[in-house]
Amino acid sequence: MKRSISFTPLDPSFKGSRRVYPCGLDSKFFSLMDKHPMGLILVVFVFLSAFFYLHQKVLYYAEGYQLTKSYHRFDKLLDKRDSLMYNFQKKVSLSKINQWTKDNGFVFTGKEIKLALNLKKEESLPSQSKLAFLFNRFFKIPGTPSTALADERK
Amino acid sequence: MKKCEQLRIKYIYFFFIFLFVILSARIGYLQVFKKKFFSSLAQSQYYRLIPLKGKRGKILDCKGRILANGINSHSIFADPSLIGNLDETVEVISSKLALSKKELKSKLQKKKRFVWIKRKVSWKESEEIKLLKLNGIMSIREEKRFYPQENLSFSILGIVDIDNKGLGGLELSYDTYLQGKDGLVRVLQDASGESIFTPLVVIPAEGADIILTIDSQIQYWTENYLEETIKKFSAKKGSVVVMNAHTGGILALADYPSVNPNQRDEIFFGSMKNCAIADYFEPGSVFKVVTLLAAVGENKFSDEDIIWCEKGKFKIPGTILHDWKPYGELSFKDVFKKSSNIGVAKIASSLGKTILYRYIKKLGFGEKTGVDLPGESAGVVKLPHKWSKTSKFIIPIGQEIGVNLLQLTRLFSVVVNGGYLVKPHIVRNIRSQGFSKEIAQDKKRVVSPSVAQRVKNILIEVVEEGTGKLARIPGVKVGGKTGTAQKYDPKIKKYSPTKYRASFIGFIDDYRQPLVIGVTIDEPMKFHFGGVVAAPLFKEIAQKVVDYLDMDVQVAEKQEHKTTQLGH
Repeated sequence: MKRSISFTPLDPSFKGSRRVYPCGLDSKFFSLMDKHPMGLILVVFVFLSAFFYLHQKVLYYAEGYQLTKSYHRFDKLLDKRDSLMYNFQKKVSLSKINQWTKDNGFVFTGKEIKLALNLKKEESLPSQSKLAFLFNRFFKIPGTPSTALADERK
Repeated sequence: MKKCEQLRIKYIYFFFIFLFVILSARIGYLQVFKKKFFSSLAQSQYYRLIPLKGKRGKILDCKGRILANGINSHSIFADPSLIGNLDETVEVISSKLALSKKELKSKLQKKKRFVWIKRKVSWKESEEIKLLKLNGIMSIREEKRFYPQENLSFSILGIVDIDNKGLGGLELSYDTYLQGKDGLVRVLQDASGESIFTPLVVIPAEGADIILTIDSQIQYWTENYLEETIKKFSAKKGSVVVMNAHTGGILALADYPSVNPNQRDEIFFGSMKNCAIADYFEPGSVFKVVTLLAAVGENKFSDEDIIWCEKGKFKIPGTILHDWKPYGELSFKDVFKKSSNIGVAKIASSLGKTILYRYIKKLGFGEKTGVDLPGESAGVVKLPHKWSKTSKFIIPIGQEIGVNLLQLTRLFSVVVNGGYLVKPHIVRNIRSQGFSKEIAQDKKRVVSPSVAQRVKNILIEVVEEGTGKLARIPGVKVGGKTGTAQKYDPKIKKYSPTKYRASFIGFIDDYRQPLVIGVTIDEPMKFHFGGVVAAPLFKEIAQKVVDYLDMDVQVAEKQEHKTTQLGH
């Protein structure tokens, strides 16, 4: 329900009624907008569109700057990588590797080399102590102590 | 208001309307009809097209090891008009980049807007220059060609110039494939001169990679042993070729001396020449294999036929032919095993010059082998009607004819691969994004398999019992022919008694990949026989290659197993 507050108009010749808006302002502009709401919407729409378009443009250029900055950083890293690879590859050329193998007597194993292992024959345990050993292992019955246990005790 | 006053107001009103209409028309004309002109003018002020260089392709060996590659580097340039304190700038730059102060000062005093100071400096140097923030001194990114294996394969790879265009070797002959395609990017330039990249870009294409048949490890051993041999015999120079007899693929091609292509100041005029293909020479006794092939191919001699070798002295029209040792009667096989000049001359004479010339041409002499390297010589082969009466005796023993080492190596591949003349090649594959081209193998039959087999057996006996004993490898079946050729001395206008060329062309008899190794040493000093100078070099290389490639060679002797005692 619209409230109407009556008051003495400033302009004595004014005879019409005036609507007071909730903000308490008495404005010709608002009254005009009230009469032509589409106009207000159009103005707002145009303003917002222009604003977003400008924002988009600015973002575009900001991204462009960022992209250029990233390109420069990427290029710098590439250059650094190339420089390191250059230094590394210079030191591990085939000539240097072959020279190293020659200096250090590094020999590749040939495909047909027989290995002869010089194994000493183990002394076999006497049968009694073998039995005792087995008992000791499985049933924990004291027999001849194993050398392993002896070593552990040591 | 009076009428005249109202009229005046109307006139002013219409005047301003008229002005407004004129202005509107002008604006309309500029914005509608001249739109393109002004917009392009505006764009040219703030848009620029920057070329993006396409990266040059790599060169790799058969195992994928990089032999040539591009790395990013910076080139320092100056705008002399923007330089503030010239003396200070010269002082600082010359010390950082190790340049002559006088030369640098004269460059910076030129009335130009662009002057190179130093091209393709190291990353460290370019960073130091950037940190100085000197007025008028700037840098630009450029690709620098780098050879990680240094001296290795220099005569094959060649080099590029400062703008990365091939100057020799594979860099020249495959320059079209290796070159990348340039791209473009449109950049926006702001008021401070800084560039902003836009999405409008033509992406540069990288050059194709070239994969070779060369094995760098075999190349290393070949170059290493060649250098040792040349130093041992104080020779002038030498070359070695290692080739797969079935496919014509070259596994190693070495020249001595060689240089490091990364050190530009080491490269001298003539250092880029590939002597193995560019130099032609009189081959000497190695060429006797042509007569052998012709004699066996024409079925004119059996192995047991006897030839009288005149006890080492044989008078021929124009001169007297000598053997290195006086021989009497020799069998057909022994003539080649013992490398008798007189025996070969008589065999060739009985064949006739027509047959001989036919075999010389059939076996690829007098024309280029077609190897994919620049600078190959075809050699010199006299036409039959230009042969003198002496020629038919001495051409078969390798004089009055010019051949290169690759042609000789190819000759022996005919013997080993069953009678095919192969086309030697160094490039196996050209590879790019979405593109791969395998180099086709090219060969044609020139002799029958039985002829090739018989000649092969004789050449194996040359190594086992003949002049090539120093090329023998225990447990490996090898064959070959030695050659010791006197060099013609133009100063004395006859063959020199002191200058020789020692050669040995041999093969490793493997049924999967038979290899031919050609060795030639120019002017060895202490000894000059091919069997003494070149044959041991062949043996060293062949031994390494057999183990490295795990070749299933036909064992000549029972192999002894090595045993190693462990534990003590």
